[in-house]
Amino acid sequence: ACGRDESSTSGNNASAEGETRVFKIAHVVQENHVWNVTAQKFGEELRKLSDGRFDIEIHPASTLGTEADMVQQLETGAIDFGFMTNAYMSTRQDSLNAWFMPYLFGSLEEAVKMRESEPAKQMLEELSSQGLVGLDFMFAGNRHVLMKDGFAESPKDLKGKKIRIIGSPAMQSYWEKVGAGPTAMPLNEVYTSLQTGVIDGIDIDLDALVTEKYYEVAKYLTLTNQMTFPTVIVMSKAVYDSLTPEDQEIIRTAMKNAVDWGVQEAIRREESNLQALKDAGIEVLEEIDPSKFQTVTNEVRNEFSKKSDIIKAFIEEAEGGK
Amino acid sequence: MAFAVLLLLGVPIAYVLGITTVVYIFATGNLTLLVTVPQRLYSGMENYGLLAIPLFMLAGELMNFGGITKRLVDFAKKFIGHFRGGLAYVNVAANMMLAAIIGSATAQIAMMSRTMVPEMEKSGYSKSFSTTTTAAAGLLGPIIPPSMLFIIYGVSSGASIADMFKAGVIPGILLGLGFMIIIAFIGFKESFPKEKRASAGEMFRSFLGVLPALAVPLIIIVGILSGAFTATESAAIASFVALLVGLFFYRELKLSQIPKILINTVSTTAVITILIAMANIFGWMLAFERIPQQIAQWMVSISDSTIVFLLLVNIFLLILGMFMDGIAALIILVPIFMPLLPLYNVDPIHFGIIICINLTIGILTPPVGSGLFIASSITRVPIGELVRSLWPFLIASVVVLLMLTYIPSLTLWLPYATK
Amino acid sequence: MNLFIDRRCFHLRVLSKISDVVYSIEKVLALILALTLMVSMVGGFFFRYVFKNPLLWSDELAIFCLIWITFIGGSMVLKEKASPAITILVDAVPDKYKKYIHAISNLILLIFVAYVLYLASDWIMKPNIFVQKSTALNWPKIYFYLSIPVSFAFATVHVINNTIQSFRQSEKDGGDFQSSR
Ligand code: NA
Ligand code: NA
Repeated sequence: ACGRDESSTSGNNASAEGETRVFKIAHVVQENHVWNVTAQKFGEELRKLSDGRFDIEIHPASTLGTEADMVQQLETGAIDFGFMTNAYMSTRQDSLNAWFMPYLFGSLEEAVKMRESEPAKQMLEELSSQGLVGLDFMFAGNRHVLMKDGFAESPKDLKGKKIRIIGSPAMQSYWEKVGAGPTAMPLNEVYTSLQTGVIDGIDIDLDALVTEKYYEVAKYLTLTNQMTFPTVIVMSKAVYDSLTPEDQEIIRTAMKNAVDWGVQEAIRREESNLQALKDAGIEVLEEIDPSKFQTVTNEVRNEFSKKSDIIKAFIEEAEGGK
Repeated sequence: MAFAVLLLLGVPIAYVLGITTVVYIFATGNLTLLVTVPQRLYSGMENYGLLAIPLFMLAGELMNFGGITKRLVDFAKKFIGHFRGGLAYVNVAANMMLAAIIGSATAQIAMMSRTMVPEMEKSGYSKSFSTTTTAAAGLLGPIIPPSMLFIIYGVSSGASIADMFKAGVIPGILLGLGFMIIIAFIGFKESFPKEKRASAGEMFRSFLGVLPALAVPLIIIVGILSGAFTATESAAIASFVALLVGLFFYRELKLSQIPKILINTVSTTAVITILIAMANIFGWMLAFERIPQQIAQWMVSISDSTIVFLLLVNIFLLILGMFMDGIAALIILVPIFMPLLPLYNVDPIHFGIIICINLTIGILTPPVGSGLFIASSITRVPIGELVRSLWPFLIASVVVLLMLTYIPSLTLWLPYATK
Repeated sequence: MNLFIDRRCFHLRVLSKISDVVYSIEKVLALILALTLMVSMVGGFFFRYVFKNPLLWSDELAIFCLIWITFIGGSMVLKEKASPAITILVDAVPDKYKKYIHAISNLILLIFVAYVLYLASDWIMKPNIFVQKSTALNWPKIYFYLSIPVSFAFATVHVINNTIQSFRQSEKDGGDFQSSR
C-alpha cells in the first residue's frame, strides 16, 4: 500500500499558483441524503466563485470515522469541512439543544426561518471554542412519530411505549418526560425490532422513513413536528484562519448559496416523501394539537433555558415569529 | 511494502495493520492525522453489534466445560453412526449442531479436533482423514448462525446482522450435505468402518440426555429466525442457558471453573476485537486517501456485467484468503466493495454471504490458514499431508460457493420469507 | 565481570516480575469486566422481555466492558504471545536465525505500542475530553477513553519484557554456538 504518486496527496497544505486546492468534507449520511446533495451544491458554487482554484472531495457515510473522530480531525485541520448532526454536537455544546425544544415549529418552513435568527448565529459563534468555524445550519425533515398501533396525539398515547430515539440530551429529556421508554438503538436493528415489537415506535424524519422502509412494519404515522433535525455545517478553524479574507468570503458565500438552495430542496422532499408514504398505504395523521403536550413542553424548555441564555432567546424569538 | 515485510517478520497481524497505518501517515507527511489515531482506535469499538462477540465466545466456553459438546457428539453417533463411514457423518452432523452455538471456525476446529479425531482413530479411520474431516466440517462454524464473520460484516456494512444470520442457514446446510457426499464417495472407495447400531433404548436415552444441550442451539436459531431477539440478545441468553445447563443439568461445570472461563473469554475475544480496532484505523487511512473509490472505479472499468463482477470477486477473495486472515480481510474489503453493489445490482446480504464463505474457505488453504495450523498442531498430522487429503472438501466448498453466488435465492429466500 | 552480569540479570528479573504483576492485574480486571458484561446483558434481556421495563443503561455498561476487554485483553494476549501472526518466514529460516527475527519483530512492536501510548496520553489530556459525558449512564467519557492509555502502558511493559527476552535468547544462543566450536 505504499507506492503512490505525489499528486494525489491533495488538499492539506500546499496550494501553489495555478493548482486546485481540494477541501475534504465529511458527514455521516448516505449519498442520496439532502445534506450530501447540499455539499455537492457547495462544491459547484465554490468552483464557480473561485474560478476553479477550489474544489471539494466528499467522504459520506462515516467513512472518516464517527462524529467524535470527525471533530478531532476538524480541530487539527485533517478534514476541512463537516456536516455534523446537531444531535451529536448538542452533546458538546449546550446551546445547540435549542433546535430540539419541543413543538417550537409547526412545519419545516418555520424551522428553516430560524436559521437567520440572532440566537442561531450566536450558536455558530460559540463553536469557535472547539476549534471550529460554524458556517450555517442545514435541515433534514422535522421529527415525527411512527407507531405500530395507533397515532401519537397526546402523552397518553405514548405512555410506557418503547420508542427508538437518537441520543441527544434534549431528545432524551423530552421522551422521558412524555413517559415513554426511549431506547437508543443502532439503525440496522430498528426494522426487525419494530417488526417483532421489541420497540413500539420510532422518532424519525420522513426521509429516513422512506429509505429504510419502516412503513412495511408499522403503519401509523403522526406528523407531530415535535422537533427539527438540523446539521451544523462547520469548517476547521485552523484551515479557515490560514486563508486570505477574500477566500474566506468566497467560502462563506458559496456555503450560503448552497444552503439557500438546500433548504428549499429539503422542504420539497418533505412534501414528496409524505406523498410517497401515502401512496404506500400508510395511515397518516397530518396535524395534532401541540397543547396536549404543553406540560412536557414547558418542562423541557425551562430545563434547557436554564442551561443557556441562547436557548432562552431562541425560544422567545421562535414563539414571537409565529 | 511495509505491510508485507512486517507480516513476514511474524509481527501479529493486528499490529501489522496499526503499524502500517502509522508508517503510511509519516510517509505522506500528513502528520496532523496521527493525533486522531487513538480516538479512531477507540470509537470503532463503540458498537452495539460487537457485543455479540464476547457473548458467543462465552457460550462456547461454557458449553465445552459444561459437557454440552460431549452430549451433542454422542447423540449424533447413536443416530447415524451405523452407516458406512458412520463416524465421519457423525463428525459433520455434530459440527452442524455445534455451529449453531459457536461463531468461529478456528474455535470449532480446535474443539472438535480434540474430541472427534481420537474417537475416529479408535474406530479405525486414518489419522489424516479424521483430521481432514474435522477441519472441513469446522468451516460450518461461521456459516450456520451465529457467526463472528457475519457480525463483523453487518457492523461494517450496515446490513442487518439478523438477516445475515438467516441467510447463512441454507448455505450451511448445503455445505454440510456437500461434505457428506464427499465422505460417501471416499467411504465406498476405501470401505470405511461402521459403528454398531444403537438399540432403540440407547437412542432414546441419548435423546433425553441431549435435550438440555439442544436447548442452546435451538434458542439461538429459533430466536434469530423468528426475529424475536437481536443477535446480541440471543448471544446473551445462549450463554446464560449454557451456564444453567452446565451447572444444574449435567453438573459438569463447577463454579470454581468460572473465573478461568471468563478470563479465557476475554483473551479469545480480544484476539478478534483488537484486530477489528486496528483494522478500523487502517480502513480509515484507506478512506482518507480515497483508495476504496479508486479500486471501485477500476473494477467498474473492467466489466459492467454482474456475473463477471461476482466471478472476479470470488477469484480475488479465494487468492486473498490463501494469504490473509479472514476477519482482517473482511474489515478492509467491505468499505471497498460496498459502493459497487448498487452498480451491479447485488444485494448486500447476498454479497455478505459470498465474501464470508470465501474468507472462511481461506482458513483451510495454504500457505496461511489458521484452521490448518490449529488442526495440525492438535493432531500432529503434518500440514502437507492435511492439504493433500483436504482438496476434495475444498472443491466441494467452492462448488457450493459458486452455487450460492449465481443462485441468490439460496441465501436471500429465508431472510425475506421471514420478514 | 561476573558482578556486572549478575546485576543485569537482576534487572531483567525485576522487569519480568513487573510484567507478571501487570498480567495478574489484567487477569483480575478481565474477570470483573467479563462478569459485568454478562450480567448487564442478561439483566438487560430480562428487564426488557420479562419485566417489560427496559434498563436504559445496560447496553452502555456492556459497551464500556467490551472496550476495556478489547484493549486490556489485547495486552494480555501479547503477554501470552497468542496473537495470530504469519509465521511462514519464521518457520522457514534455520533455527539459529529465528531468534533474530523474533527480536526484530518484538522491537518494531515495542516502538509501535510505546508510540501509541504517547499519542494516547496526549489525547486523553485534551480539555475537550473532560467535557464529554456518556448518554445513558452519564459517566464522564474519560472512563471509557482511559482504556487506551492504560492498556497500551501495560502492553508496553509486556513487549519490553518480550523484546529483552528475545534478545537475550539470541545472545545466549550465539554464545552457546561459539562455545561449542
Ligand atoms: Na455458527
Ligand atoms: Na489461507
